[in-house]
Amino acid sequence: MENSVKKGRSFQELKIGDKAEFEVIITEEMHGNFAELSGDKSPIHTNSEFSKQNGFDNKIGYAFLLSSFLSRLYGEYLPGGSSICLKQELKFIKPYFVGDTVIIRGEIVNRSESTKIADIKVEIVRNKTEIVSNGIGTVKLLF
Amino acid sequence: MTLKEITAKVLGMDANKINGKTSRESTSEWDSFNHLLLVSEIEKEFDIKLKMDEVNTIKTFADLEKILRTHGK
Repeated sequence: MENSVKKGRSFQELKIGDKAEFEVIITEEMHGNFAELSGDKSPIHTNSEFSKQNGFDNKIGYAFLLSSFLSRLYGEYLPGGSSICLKQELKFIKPYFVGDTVIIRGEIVNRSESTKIADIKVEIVRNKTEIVSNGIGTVKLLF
Repeated sequence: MTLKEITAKVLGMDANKINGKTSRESTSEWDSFNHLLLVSEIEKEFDIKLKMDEVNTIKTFADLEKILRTHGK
């Protein structure tokens, strides 16, 4: 697949405090596709009864499915197609479930002129209020 | 964190193996991406801003120490 060349924000256009966010509804189809893609069929993600026996309301969503949305955050929103990701730190704080609406948020918290590197604080929020994941990404601006 | 600790963390190396002669040329972990990450981490930790030409002149750990001294750290 090749896409048309799209210009994201340049390093000079990127400011500390710049923010972006988008929403995703986690569907059964996404969950199943991620199981196939990753090859992770562990029962905590695929068997509701097993998950309930282990204290969860239902089979829990894949943490790394959530982290994949950071690729969209950086590539489409902030800075939006003008960077490569060099580092990602992420904590998985709470579980989430199929059917949840998650908000993926990013905010520029540091920029280095000499290296054209920016740090992006990220937060993934379940059902508008509950932070399920947070961390810091480091991207290198290409121009 | 000390400069050596930051360098060890970013490069994924044992701090005890880092000395003034540790160089980009002789250290496979010190590649171009890690070099940028290292500079960015040093700027944050020591609250300094390097110039692009300074970044390009860094070849060894001793160079990093020297640059910190020139920035009063």
